[in-house]
Amino acid sequence: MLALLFGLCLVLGDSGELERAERAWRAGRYGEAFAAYERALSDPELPRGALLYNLGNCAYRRGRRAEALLYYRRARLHMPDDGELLFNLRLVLNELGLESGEGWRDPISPAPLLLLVTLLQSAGLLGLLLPGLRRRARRLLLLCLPLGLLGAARLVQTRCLPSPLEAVVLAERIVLRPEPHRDLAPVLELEAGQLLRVAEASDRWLRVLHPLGSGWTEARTVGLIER
Amino acid sequence: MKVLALLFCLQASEVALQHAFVELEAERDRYYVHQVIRLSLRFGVEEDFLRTRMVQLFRRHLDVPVRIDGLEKLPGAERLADLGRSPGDRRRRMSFVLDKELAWAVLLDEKRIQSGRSMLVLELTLRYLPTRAGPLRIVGLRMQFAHATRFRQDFLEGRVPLDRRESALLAESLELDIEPLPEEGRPREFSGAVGRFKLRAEAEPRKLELGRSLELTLRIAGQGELRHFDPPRLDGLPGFHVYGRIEDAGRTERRITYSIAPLSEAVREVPGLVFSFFDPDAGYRSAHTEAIPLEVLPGRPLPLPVTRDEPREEAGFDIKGIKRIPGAAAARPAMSRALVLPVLLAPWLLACGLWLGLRHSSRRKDNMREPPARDAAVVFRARLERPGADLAGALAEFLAARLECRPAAVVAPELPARLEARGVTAELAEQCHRLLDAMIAERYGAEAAAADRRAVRELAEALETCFQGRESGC
Repeated sequence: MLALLFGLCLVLGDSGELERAERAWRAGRYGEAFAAYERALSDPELPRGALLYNLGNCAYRRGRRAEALLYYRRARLHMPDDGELLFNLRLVLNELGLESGEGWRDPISPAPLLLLVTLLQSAGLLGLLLPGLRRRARRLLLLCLPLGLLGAARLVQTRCLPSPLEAVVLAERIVLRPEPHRDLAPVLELEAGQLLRVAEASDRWLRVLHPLGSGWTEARTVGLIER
Repeated sequence: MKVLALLFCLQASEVALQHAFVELEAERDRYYVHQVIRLSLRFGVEEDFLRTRMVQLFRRHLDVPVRIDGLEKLPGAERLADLGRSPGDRRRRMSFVLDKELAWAVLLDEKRIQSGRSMLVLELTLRYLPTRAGPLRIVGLRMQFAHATRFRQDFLEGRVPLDRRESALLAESLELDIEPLPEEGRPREFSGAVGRFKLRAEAEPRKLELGRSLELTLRIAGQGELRHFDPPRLDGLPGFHVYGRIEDAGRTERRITYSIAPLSEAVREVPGLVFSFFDPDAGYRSAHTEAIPLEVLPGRPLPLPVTRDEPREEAGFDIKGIKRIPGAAAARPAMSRALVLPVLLAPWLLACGLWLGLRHSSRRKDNMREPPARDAAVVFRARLERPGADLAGALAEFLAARLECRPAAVVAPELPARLEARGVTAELAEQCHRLLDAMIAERYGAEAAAADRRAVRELAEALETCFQGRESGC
């Protein structure tokens, strides 16, 4: 009985947190909504992608574009094809003056693509194995096989292979240095919202890669895009 | 088209005057602010002079080795990107240097005769956008090239000039009047666009639930600069909440996609939009789109904030609302990677199964040929046991089954060779051949063959031993 009551409290508590967050959002109290959603992140039962998306919205409303970008990118790890998320991501990238090409969806969503790839591969393999086929029909079927393999490669790349650890510049402007020391002259300056790839990490510094160069930056100036 | 610039030589040598020319043309002498100015840079060199006496200015080979400077920066005007070659334009382009950058000019079909010499004529169109009113002067346009009269042939560098000289031509300054846009008649919603434009609107989807959003795409096309004006604002679009817009400007069209959501089920249409612009020939004008019918189905209203901590920076930009958690509107879970690989591998596994099945079926068909080779000996023994058995026929059928041919085909001079090919010893093959011939001849009245049932059986057993030895690889 006690365990049941405790469980009920947990559930109600969680839903209370979410309701509190939504009420705060509607009332325009974005800081409060942000804190409530952040607390809800600790619950593994709740959809993490949606929580991160809402955190991004709260950050946006508070005028923290780079932070919003970080949360949207983190949410995208959980829901890569969500239309609303992609829209908000593109909007923030536009506002920060960054390339927004990545906020676009693949023309075919994953489930239909998987079905299409499976059908193409099946057709190709049938063309390879079935006896008694006419030459033209066999050629047409065999043509499906490389198309299916290309589609399969794309699916494996986007769905199965682990993506490298990335980060978003949160500070208004950061500098990259050749070594993890503040006294060294910077090699590159980057503005808020820029996307970086993390090559190495220490307790206070990160070695990051950017298309314009690479170097070390203090870990507190960037946000890691983690699930 | 008025030609305003004349060729005027300040420091040009006689050579430059005789063998080259440069001029600048504008379509008119009066423009408005933000009205695109198209300047035609036209230049040329004498054909023979180009071929025999001109010298490359840089290491990179130029089709026309001339350098033209003076058009990079114009005071009060911004240079616009080249629109590129239009589809279907197959005219030849020749390289030269314009303001320290490699450029390509169109070789015109017309030739110009200057001082009795035939000149190649090249043309490049440049676009500028005047940003302030007042006179726009283009001064110091200069064309420079190098030439020589004597050359030597070098193994590595080819034709090397011995008396290289440089010449230059200066063009007279060109002045255009830039007028401000008139205040009179300017509509309140004027966008700043100057030119002639058409407007088209699309909405997708046209049937949606309350709480969902749709994309309203506005396409602006026409003559005029497409990037330097504000797109129509949708502030206060009746019945809708506007999330924001995404833009894409191409060569001939600017596309603005607004994300909007109806606020109630009573909304029946997306209102028509207005885009106001200034037509240099006709004054202020407006282009309109028709209203787009819409069907809003019952659903959950948008979770819109009532007030905000901070003022929004610009009306018309907004993010999509928060997601209700948990709820029907929650996002679809991403496709699990645990699902992808098995589904991708499934066709290959099925194909393997199919291949094995087809192979098995093919072998069964081979084995069902009558009589199977492996059962030939069994069949032969069974036939011998029958009273009155035809020994020659039974032996011929046994050999035919083993040699995979018809019984009539074994009665042939090649029989020993065929038997030897199947692993039978030469002696045994010859013995078999003689016996079979004798038994067949006996049928047709020849002397009786010295063979009885036992001898034939022993011969067949010896042959079967050889056949099996061959099949097992011994």
